[in-house]
Amino acid sequence: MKNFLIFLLCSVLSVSSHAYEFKRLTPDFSANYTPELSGTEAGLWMQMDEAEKNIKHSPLRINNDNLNVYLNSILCRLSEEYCADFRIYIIRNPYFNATMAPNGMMQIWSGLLLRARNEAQLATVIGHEIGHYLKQHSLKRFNDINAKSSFMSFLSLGIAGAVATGNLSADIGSAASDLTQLGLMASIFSYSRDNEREADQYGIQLLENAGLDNREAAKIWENLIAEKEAADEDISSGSVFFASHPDPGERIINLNNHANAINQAGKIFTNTNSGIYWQNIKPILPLLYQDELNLRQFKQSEYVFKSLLKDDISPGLTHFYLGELYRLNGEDEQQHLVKSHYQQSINYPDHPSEVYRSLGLIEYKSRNFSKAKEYFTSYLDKNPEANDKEMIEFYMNFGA
Amino acid sequence: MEVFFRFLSLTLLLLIVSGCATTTNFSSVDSINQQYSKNISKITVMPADVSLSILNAGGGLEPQAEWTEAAIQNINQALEVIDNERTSNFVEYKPPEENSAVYNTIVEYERLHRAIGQAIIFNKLYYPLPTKKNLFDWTLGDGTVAIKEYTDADYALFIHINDSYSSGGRVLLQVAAALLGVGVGGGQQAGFATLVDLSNGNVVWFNFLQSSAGDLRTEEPALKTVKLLLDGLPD
Amino acid sequence: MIRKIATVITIVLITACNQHTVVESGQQTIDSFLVQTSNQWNLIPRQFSTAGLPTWTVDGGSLNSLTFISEIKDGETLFPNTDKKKFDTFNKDMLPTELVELVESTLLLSYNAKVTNKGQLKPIKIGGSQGFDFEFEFVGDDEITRKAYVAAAIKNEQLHLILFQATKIHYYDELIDSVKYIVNTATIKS
Repeated sequence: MKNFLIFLLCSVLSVSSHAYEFKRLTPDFSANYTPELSGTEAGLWMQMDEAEKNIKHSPLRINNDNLNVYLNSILCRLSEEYCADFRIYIIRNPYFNATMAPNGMMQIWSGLLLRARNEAQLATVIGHEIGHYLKQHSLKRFNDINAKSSFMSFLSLGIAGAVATGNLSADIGSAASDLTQLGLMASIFSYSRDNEREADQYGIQLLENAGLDNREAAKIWENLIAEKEAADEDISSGSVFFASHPDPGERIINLNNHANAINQAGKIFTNTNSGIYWQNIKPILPLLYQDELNLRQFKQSEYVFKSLLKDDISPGLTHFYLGELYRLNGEDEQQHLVKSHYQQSINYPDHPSEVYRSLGLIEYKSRNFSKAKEYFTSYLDKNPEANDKEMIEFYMNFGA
Repeated sequence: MEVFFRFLSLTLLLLIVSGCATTTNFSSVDSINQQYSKNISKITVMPADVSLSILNAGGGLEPQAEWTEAAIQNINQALEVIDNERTSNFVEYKPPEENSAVYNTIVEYERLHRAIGQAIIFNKLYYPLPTKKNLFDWTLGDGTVAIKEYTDADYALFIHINDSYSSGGRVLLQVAAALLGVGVGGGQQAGFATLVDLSNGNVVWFNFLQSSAGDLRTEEPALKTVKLLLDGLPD
Repeated sequence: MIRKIATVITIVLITACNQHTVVESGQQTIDSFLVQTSNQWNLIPRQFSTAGLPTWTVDGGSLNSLTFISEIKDGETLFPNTDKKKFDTFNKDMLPTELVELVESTLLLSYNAKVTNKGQLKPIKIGGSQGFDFEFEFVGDDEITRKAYVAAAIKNEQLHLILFQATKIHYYDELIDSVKYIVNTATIKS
């Protein structure tokens, strides 16, 4: 994979000497498209429809009504008359990714929702996926496949995944599911560089339709690069999105160029709708935080959580999860941060009841039993139906 | 790793029997359980669960798309032919409303059925459970009553063709075959059919088909394959 | 890559003969656990068991399984041969609340799964040692919801844990009573 990326980078550099020229993209077909009922394309759609049925009713789909309506509204504002061609599904997968199937089914992974800072950034990614659809990139790619190379790339991804988890059991039928496979699709099918450039450009064009600030487009990639750098990781590793897309540096330059060209020719929109965005994400934010924590990718999570804190997003909740992050990471030098973040969390009205439990456990383990009891009492007061109520009461009695 | 072992054990066994069409039949119709000595009737056929081979990034992508499209048509046609030849006809299955509760239930049971089918193949055929030597008691549980009420049938026939392991496993199959010097055609299929008593979810009949001849893209072999798959289904 | 596949195939060929064996009802010893069982189980061959640990099943590992984890020492991971940089490690001073995190995170990372529901966490005695039990629901790659029941105790600074996993539909309810019987009759040797 690394060699492939180096190859890409070299190819990219060799064409970057061309002067920038903005040419507006148009769709390759009209709205309400359905393929003719024969041939490869129809077979593809049918299979995608089957996969979609499964995804729609998957236990890993995030069903929050309000959030789904919100994402759909962004989708429609961007795609206008094509709106009815798409369905959008939010998938509980804590990595940054979005996919578009040839039949108009879009997946947004929850890791993306945690990393987009505002509506304009999320819309950039949605618009990018719409771009793939409107230029029929999926279909063209399917028809044009180099069997050997995609075969090997699927295989290596599958192996890497399986080996990485070190799982040796047959407990769980790990028959490849639609979600996993469609998620992998983004990287397996490796749209060509031209396809990606087109989708990026299309995405920016579409932001106009929604009246959103296109200068936000490049920022989402800048943040991702910064996250990877903070994690001391090769930017091509980890996120499925990175594995399939070309050099982020080049992207940022192009996105900025597109934005400038569009803005110079017409009106500049300044809406990022950050407030609206976070208002809609808020109900699932604890879930997003918890799933991110469960990845046990300390540096990466630290970067994300700290960025959100800096942007003043749900400070009560964010301080709590930062505390949890440092606690779980277990570094001695960071333990003072644990208590500090919990205590800061309490200062905000949106602190979760669990912060009292966490503080209680710290005191309890230090044998400050009466202080622990105070915190545990607060926890149970605010959370009378707590699933660990009996255990907490046990701690309180035991330490008495 | 687990993925590997699962795929490979099934793969190797496919290899061993490749070249001949075999069905292995496990039936609790003549098992210890007496109540199945009566006639089985009012069987509804659930929509065939045809796996998404399109997601296989390996070679043969295009043929697989055609295959699936044709396969579904041919399977349905084959089922019609079989239905006409039966003593008691199948109860028609009408797909429920998308947002209805039973729709969700059916999706869940289709998933569970896939797991049960794989478990039966794995734990009865290849790595048998000694406690089940004379026992065939796999079940989906009595939640299937909801399906019984919806379809007004007593039994449901679930058909699963080209198990999802084939998507990754198919690729591995070809690699493994190449290493072992065995020729493996692109059209390898496997499937299983399950008959479930909807009053209690019990699997009363199960058939596992491994076939290298089963080209479901064309009508006649498709009928042959489906007949093989349903060979021994209580009439 | 090809070499890797060939190695795996060879391993499978060699171990292909390992089969399930009966675990009769009555008294059974599994590593540090001495238990009573009220029904027959099958011992899953090592290459298919949970992380290579002693695991029983009634209907097949993907439908239900019971794993016995013994004598986990301070600083060790719950499953053997897992990367300590990635997987949580046991600490002898861990409270049950933290042990829940240890188990959950180990399973979630191993199966690429998500928790979909959390059950009760309660103190219980296991063979005279103070311990706890809890349950939760999770979904893995195959999108089937499963339920886990965990019972564990720390004895002499070592963790001993029984892990039951089964499909939420039918098999969990079917077997949970016989699992709890095993837990209730268990003693931990040390």
